[in-house]
Amino acid sequence: MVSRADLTTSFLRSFAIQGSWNYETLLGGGMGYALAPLLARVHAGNPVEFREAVRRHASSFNGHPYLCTLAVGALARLEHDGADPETIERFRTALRGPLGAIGDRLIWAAWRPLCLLLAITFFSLGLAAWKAALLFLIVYNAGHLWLRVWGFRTGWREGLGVGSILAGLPLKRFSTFLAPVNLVLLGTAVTLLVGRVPQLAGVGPLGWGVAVVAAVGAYLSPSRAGAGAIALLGLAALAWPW
Amino acid sequence: MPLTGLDLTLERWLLLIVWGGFVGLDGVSWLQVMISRPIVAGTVGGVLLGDAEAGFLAGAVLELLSFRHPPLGAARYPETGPAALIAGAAYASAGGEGLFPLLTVVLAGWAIGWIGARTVHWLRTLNGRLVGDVEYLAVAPRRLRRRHILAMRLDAVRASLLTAALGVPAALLARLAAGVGPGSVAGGWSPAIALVGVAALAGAGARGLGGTGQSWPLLAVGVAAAALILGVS
Repeated sequence: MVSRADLTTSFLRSFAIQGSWNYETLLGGGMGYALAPLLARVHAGNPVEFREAVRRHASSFNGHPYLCTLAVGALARLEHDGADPETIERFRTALRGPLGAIGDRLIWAAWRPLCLLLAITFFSLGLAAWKAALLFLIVYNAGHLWLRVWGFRTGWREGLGVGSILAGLPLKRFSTFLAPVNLVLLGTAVTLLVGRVPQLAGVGPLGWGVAVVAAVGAYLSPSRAGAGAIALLGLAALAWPW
Repeated sequence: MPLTGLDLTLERWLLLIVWGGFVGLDGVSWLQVMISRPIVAGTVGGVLLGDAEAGFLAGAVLELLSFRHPPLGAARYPETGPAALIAGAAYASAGGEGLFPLLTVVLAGWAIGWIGARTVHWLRTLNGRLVGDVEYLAVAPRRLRRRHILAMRLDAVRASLLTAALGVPAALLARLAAGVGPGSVAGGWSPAIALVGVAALAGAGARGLGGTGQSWPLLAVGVAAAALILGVS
C-alpha cells in the first residue's frame, strides 16, 4: 500500500526531475528517479515487475519541469491501480506534448517575466536591491510551488483523467492575458531603470536617434544573436572613451 | 586574506564559488526556485562584494537581455545564473558606478553565459552516457538513483569551476573599465548610452516576450506610464 511518506518522497524527488537531463532520454532519468519510491512500494515482492516499471519510466520523456508533477502523480496512480503496461506507455507518450507546451507558455513566457519585471520596476522606483530580489523569489515561487503541489495531487487523484483536466485548464487563457501585461511592464521597467541615470535631459538628437535605431534594430533582427549584437554594439560604440 | 588587490577576501571568494554551484544547480538540475535568475544571482554577487544595488543593476541588464532567449522547446540560451553572479560581484568590486564598467560586466557576463551554455551541453552529453542506457539501469534500479545524483553533483562542480575560473578575470576587467572610462562616460554621453542600451533591450526583450509588429503601442503605454511616474517624482 502506498503511504503518505512514499508520496511525499516522490514529490520531493520531483524537484530534481531534470537532474540528469540528456539528449537521449531527456528527463526520463528524472521521471524514473522521482517515481522509484512509489514503484518500489507498488511492486514490492515482485522484482521483475519493479525492474520493468523502472525501465518504462526511465525511458525518454519530456515536459515542463513544474508540470511534470502531474505526470508523476498520474503515472504513479496508473501503476498503483495495476493498469497494463501498454496503456501506461501510451498515456505517457500522450502527456509529453501538452505538458511541455502549456508549461513553457505559462511559466517561462508569462509568469516568470511578469515577476521579474515587477521586481525590476520596484527596484527602479527605489526599493532596496535585496528586497526587490526577495520580492521576486516570494511572488514567483508562490505560483511555482502551488503548481507543483496542484499537479502532483491532481495527477494522483485523477490518473488517466488528467488528460481532460489539461484540456480544460484556464492556464492557456492566463498566459494569453499576461502577454500584453508583460509588454506594458517591459516598457515601464526599462524606462524607470534608465530614469535612475541623472541628466537624462542632456540627451541630444544623436542619442535619441541611435536609441530609436537600436530599439528597432534589436526588435526586427531575425536572429536572437543578431538582436543582442546590435544592442551591445550600439552600447559599446557610445560607451567607448573615444 | 585579500586576493589580487581586489576587495575580494579568500572567504568571500570561496562563498562565491560555492554559491556558484548552487546557482548552476538551480538553473536546470535541482529546485529551480530561480535563485539562478540574473537579478537574484547578481544581487548575491553584489552583496558578497559589498554592494547589493550594483549587483542588482548588473543582473537587471542581463535579465532584460536574456528575455530575447526564452527557454522554449529545444532553444539554446545562455546560462545566465553563474554569469550574473560573477557580473554582479565584478561590478560591485569595481565600485558599482559608471556605465562603462556596467557595460563591461554585462558584456563579460553575456560571454560567460554562452561559455556556461557550452559546458551545460558537455554535461548533457555525459549524462546521456550515465542514464541513457535504460536497459542497463533497469537491471539494478539503484543504479538509476546513484547516477542521477552523480549527474547533479557534476553539474554543481561544473558551475563552481566556471565561477572560480572566470570570477577574477571579470572583476579585473571591471576594475580596468572603471579606471579607463569615467572621463568620457561621466560626461554628456552617460544618459545617451543608457537610453540606447535601454531602447535596445526593450526592443530585443519585446521580441523575446512574443511581441509582434502591433506590440509597440503596449510598450509605449508602459514607457508613458514610467515617464509620468518620473515626472511626478
